This record gives sequence, C-alpha cells and structure tokens, in this order.
Amino acid sequence: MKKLLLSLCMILPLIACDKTAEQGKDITVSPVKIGVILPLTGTNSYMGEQMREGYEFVKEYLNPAIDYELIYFDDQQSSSKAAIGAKKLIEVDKVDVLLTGTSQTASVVAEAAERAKVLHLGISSDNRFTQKEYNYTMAPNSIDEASVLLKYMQEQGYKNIALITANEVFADMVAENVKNLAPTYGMNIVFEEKITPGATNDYRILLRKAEQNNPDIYLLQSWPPEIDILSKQLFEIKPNAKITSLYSFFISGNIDMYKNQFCLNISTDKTEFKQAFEQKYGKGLEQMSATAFAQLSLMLNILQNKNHKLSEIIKNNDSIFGKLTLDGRSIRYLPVVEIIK
Amino acid sequence: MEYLINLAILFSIYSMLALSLNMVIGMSGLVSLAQAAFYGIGAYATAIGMTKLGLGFFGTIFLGILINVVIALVVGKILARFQYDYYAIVSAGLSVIVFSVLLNWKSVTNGALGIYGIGKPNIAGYSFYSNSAFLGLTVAFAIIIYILYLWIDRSSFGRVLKALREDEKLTQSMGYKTKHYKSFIFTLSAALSGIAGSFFASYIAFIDPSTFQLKEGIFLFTIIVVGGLSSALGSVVGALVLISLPEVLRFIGLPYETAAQLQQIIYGAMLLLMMILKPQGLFGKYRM
Repeated sequence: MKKLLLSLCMILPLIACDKTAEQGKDITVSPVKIGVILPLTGTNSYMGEQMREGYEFVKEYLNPAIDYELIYFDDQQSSSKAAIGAKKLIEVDKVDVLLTGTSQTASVVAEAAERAKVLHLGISSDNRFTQKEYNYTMAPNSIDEASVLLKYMQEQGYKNIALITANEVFADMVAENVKNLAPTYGMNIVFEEKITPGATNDYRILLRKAEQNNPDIYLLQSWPPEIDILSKQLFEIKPNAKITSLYSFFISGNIDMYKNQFCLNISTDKTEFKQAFEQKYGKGLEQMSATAFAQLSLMLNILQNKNHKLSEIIKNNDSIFGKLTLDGRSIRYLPVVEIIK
Repeated sequence: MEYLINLAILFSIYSMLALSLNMVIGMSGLVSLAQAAFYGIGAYATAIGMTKLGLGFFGTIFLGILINVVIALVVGKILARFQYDYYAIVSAGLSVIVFSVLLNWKSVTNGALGIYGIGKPNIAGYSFYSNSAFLGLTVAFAIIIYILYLWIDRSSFGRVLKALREDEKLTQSMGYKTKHYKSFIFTLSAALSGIAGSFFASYIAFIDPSTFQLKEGIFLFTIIVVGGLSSALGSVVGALVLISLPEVLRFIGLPYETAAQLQQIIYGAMLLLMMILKPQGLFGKYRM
C-alpha cells in the first residue's frame, strides 16, 4: 500500500500537469481507496443519496478492471465538516483520490487536496477551486448551459422570461448568465426575483407579481423542495404556465408534476444504461446519480491509464455524457434540453 | 496527526465562540442567538480584507472587531430593553438580518458564491501556513479569551453581571445602570466572536453565508448548555464534546448504507441523555 501511495504521489501531479507519466507504475496493489464527501444527512441529503446510488452503480454496470473501495464521509453540506472530512479521508483512511458532490464542499476540500497532493475531482459549475493544482471539476460550462437553454427557448418562440432563482451558488450563476445572454437570443427578462430557500413556503404573492408582467415562460431555478413548491403554486395560479429550469426538474422526486415541460438535462442518451439503472433502483435515472456515475467512471479511467496524458484520457473516455473536453482543469460536456414525458 | 490537528483547530475556534457566548448567556442571563451574526461578520471582514483590500490577517481581525463593536453598540442598546424570551427573539432577528445582508450584498460579499482563496496569517515574514503553526496561534487566542473570561468572572463587573442575571430589578435598586452592563458585555462578546470568525475564514480558506445562519447560533447555544452555563471550563468542554463526538461516531463500525443517518441518531440520543442526567450541563454553575 505504501508503494502504491508513493507511486500515486509521484504520478498524480504529472497527470494533473497533463504530462506523460512514463515512469508511472501500474496500480497493482488493491484496492485503490476513493474518498467521497457528500451531504448524506441534512437538508441536501436527497442529493447525496442520489449520488451514492450513481457511485454504487458503477461497480455493477461497468465492472471496472481496477479494484477500488469507496469511503464515504457525510459533510451535511457544512464547510467545517467538509474540511474535517478531507483531512480524515486523507490522513486516517489514506485515500488515493477524492470526489466531492457540491460546489461548497469542492471549494473547501481543494486546499486539503493540494496540500496532500491528492487528486480531487468535483462536479461544480463554479470552477474557482480548480485554480489550485490537483483540483479538477467535471461539469458543463455555465455559459454553455444558459446558451443551450436560451437557444431552445428562442426556437420555440418564447420572448419574455420571468426569472425566479434561489439565493444559492448554482442558481446565482444561472441568473447572471441568463440575464447577460437573453438579449443575444432576442429575449427579455420581464420579471426577476430571488428567493431564499427555507425562508418561506408561500410564493403566491411573488408569482402573482410575476404574472402581471405577462411572461411567456417562467425560468425557475432552485433545488427541491423549493422548486416543487414554486411550480405547484404557479400551476394553482396559472394551470397552463410554461416553466423551465436547469436540471432541477430531474432532481426533484416529483417529475410527473413537470410533464410536457422542458428542462436542461445531462445528455445521457444511452438507453441501455438508463434501463439498467431503472431495473436496479426501481425508478428513473436521476441527474445527480448520472453525474456521480460519470464522475467515478472518469476517475477510474484516469487511475487505470495514468501513463497517458489527461487530455488523451478525456478525449478517449466513453462517458455517458458523450464527448468530454478539457478546458484548463475543467472537464466539460454539453447538456441538452429534454422534454419531460 | 493532521486530522487531529484540524479537529483541534476547529475545537479552538468553537471554544472562543462558546466562551464569548457564555459571557452573555451564562454570566449575564441574556439569551442571545446573535452570535452567528458576529461570527459571520468577523469571517467576512477577514475574507474581504485579505482578498480584496490587501490587508494582513491581523489587520482584518481589528477590522472585524471594529465592525462588530459598532453594530453591537447600536443593537445592544436596543436589546438592553428586553429580557428573557424577548431578548432571544430580537437577537435571533439580528442573525437573520446579517445572513440576508451577507447573501444579498453581492458587490461586497459575493453573495451565495462566497469568497474563495482566503490566506493564512503572517507575522514579520513568518507564515502560519502549516496547520500546526495555525493551531498554535488559534490556541493562543483561545487561551487569551479564556483568561479574559475568568478575569471578568472574578471582577466586580462580573459580579454585577451575575447579579442582574439573578434579579435585574434588585440590581438596579442598588444603583447599577444595568442597561450599560448588558450593552457592554454584549459588545465584548460580539468582538470576541469576530476574532473566532477571522480564524475560521483563514482556516477554511472559503466562506459563504450558509455557515453563518441562525442554526449556527443554536449550535453554539447547545455547546454552552451541554458544557455548562456560566462556566469557562464548561464552554471549552462543551465545544470539545460537540466537535469531537460526531467524529468519534465515525469510527464505529456501522453499515455504510445507513452509517451517516445512524450517527445522527446516536449523536442526538447522547445529547438527550446528557441533558436528562446533567440538566445544568457538565460544569454548569447556573441553570436556565
């Protein structure tokens, strides 16, 4: 195990710098320890649980050649717990690599990963943490996300958008990008409002105010349960309202509520994969599960091919998201617009 | 070892917070839930000071103290009119207001995106970048606050605070202007919480408003209730118990599918049991 750690310490920086690690030693000592920091309890535990299903599904579906062990740490979406988690996984569990599930966690874990020279792969759209060496993110470019959705809305003839977004990292980025890009696609933001998750459960007054501005479509960006509450209350006021979002309808446990609406989603067009997931868990593939699956698959691919350049590994990676590209230390893929059936 | 050092850093930071809160709640009987607000202001003063204003860590500590003192003086004057539950409700309001400001004043705080890349302290070319050096500095500040607590506790000023905790009207009848005492201890506590916030920001290197919500204030309140009200030792032991207990539980061999949830249940049950067996806390001198 010591040899493995030593070799990884020598090799991972080279991979991180996208240089060929010719002296690299194949991982022959098993298992490779992969530390995973997720919110498994608390408000965002639904996300953590969806991701855990995705991670667990990798072994069953891909049956990877590399022997690995996943070690979970529940950070309850707390910065201080995430910092402790990174240290515990690195120092006590001696993990070889780290995976994180949220932007906040990735930002906190980045420093510990850099100090310990442990490769860390997050899934955050906010890629500020990748300024630090050893830290990578695998997520669509946030401008691409907004562009894909706006382009589709333009094609469908929508002109006026009511933008209601939560006061949190991802929704904030969505709001900024949509506001900046909407004029390019000939669209107007006729109403804009922020909501603070957990502050209230009654958005009816806000939604009536939005309606007075006659939007063609409502772009609602929040995570459950707010997204479900907002949508339900909007449908009470305006049963035929057209709504859209980035991913959140697919993260919600109430996908039926969004029938015939469209939403940005990851581009998982692999039917066989979707069916296998449904068969195992008795439910449709959730966005966070798919993301976690792709994240772990890529990490295993990197570990298996550590003698290759990262750009080559990315290029040849057979992701469920289709083609991946490397932009600095951000691994990108393109999302798609999906109509919910 | 690094893991333990990191736990010790967090323990020191929470000890500072618990000691400062116990000055208000334990020593003076003022149920304040505003601590998370001052903690957050201190943390943001350091984050903004170091990343945007180019200040050094110690300069940002003073900045945090200054801002907290100004806010606490104003709010303390208002709070001094209240007692008991009303004090708790109004102070909780401050916590909510500060959280909203941190979340929405984007040009300064960067909103929900938070502030990334906060540096480590540096004195005359010596950097506290290593965790052990940072721990040394944090413990030194925690000890200073501990000594300050004991000094106030044993001073005539501290005795007046305890008197107003027991009976404010009686204390007033003896000629003490209790409003000034309440306002002063609230301001001092706010300043000390700001120091803890500065250390937290520098330690964690990334902060966002979610850390400084009302629930953090309630967590701090739990620390001093478990450790013991009106006790410096209780504040420190309370912080030790509540920071280390969840970590100890991680080493129990629970089935991994439900380990996180079971840990929470065991943690809650242990706290409940502790409160049943020791309602005044582990080292409490005063019971609410």
